Amino acid sequence: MGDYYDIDDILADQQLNVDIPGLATDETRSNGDELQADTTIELPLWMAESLAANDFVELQLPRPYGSRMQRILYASCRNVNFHALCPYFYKFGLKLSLALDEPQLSELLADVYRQRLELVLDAAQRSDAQNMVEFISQLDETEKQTYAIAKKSTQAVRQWQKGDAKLLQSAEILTCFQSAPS
Amino acid sequence: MTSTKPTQQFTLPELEFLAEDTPITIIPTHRMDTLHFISGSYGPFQPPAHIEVPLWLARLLKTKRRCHIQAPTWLNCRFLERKYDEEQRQPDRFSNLPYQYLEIAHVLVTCAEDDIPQSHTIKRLIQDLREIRQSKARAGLAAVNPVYLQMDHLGAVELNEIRPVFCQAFNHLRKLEKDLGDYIVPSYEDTQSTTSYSNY
Repeated sequence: MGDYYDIDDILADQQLNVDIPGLATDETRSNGDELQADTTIELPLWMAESLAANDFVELQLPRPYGSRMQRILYASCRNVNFHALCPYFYKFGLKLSLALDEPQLSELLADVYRQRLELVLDAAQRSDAQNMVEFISQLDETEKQTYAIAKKSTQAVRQWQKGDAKLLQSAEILTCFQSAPS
Repeated sequence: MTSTKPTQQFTLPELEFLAEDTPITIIPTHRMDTLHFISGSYGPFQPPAHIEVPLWLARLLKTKRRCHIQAPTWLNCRFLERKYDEEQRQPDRFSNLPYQYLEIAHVLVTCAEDDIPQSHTIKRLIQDLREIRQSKARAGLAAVNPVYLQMDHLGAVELNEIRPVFCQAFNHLRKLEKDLGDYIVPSYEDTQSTTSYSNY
């Protein structure tokens, strides 16, 4: 899953840290301590995942996906500031749910996305876009993408209705071929 | 670098171009011989006999003041008002309008304003219809599931507008809900009788 070259995907990998008991940190090592079992530290997901695969550590859900947050999302997800929680809330959540084998997390995320989709579209199709800045800043990157796409296509229709888009232009693919060196 | 990947949607002028093939009735004001085009021959034009031509030809003749355009049967206030009522009465389905109603109305209202009775009211009604249908399409999109989405009687422009959003949302949801083990696809007949887009 995931796209190897997708920069968003790579960033999502680094986003939050997973709590891991059972591994020493730099601090403990500089204090001369041995590796202590049952300590909880945070690691980037890419490292935590491979450590867990080898049974060195046990993974726990980070706070933005913990049971308290899940209860909040079940109650109402409309006013949650996802961007503050994690800019790649969905992508990272999906990785987590696969890494920790918790399918109900990704199902919850799908539900949340669906409920917020209508709000996002609503914001994109309104004409008074200035008032929506605050709402937009609370969206996660995936939702922002959806917002941008919806806004672009709505604006195209609006422009056409005003009569601003009269000319039939040659297709993008043709201009690409024309500009390409022969 | 520009990508060579074709875009997911048509541009609006392209949609307008496609809609211009719709046949429409005109009343010529001048006598003319048959006109020959690659797409076919139209004429002879003998006023005041009605004749059916494609919309692009009607628009051309109209701008040269050689004909009057007869508005299609659905492009009048009474019909559109009835459709608007229908839209309001049924919050979960779209009324049956011509597939390209927005484009045809746009072309006719801009080029043949004087031939269409109450063109201002019609403009407003079309806009009202578009807005109420847009909000329905939005609600329908929110009911998207990773299997399919059904919205009957959606127009070309409206479809084109939601297509890129839908594709993105659909792909995203499919990644999240990969496990579709016991997912039952509702049959077409079931959804027909209840709502026009699925709520499952």
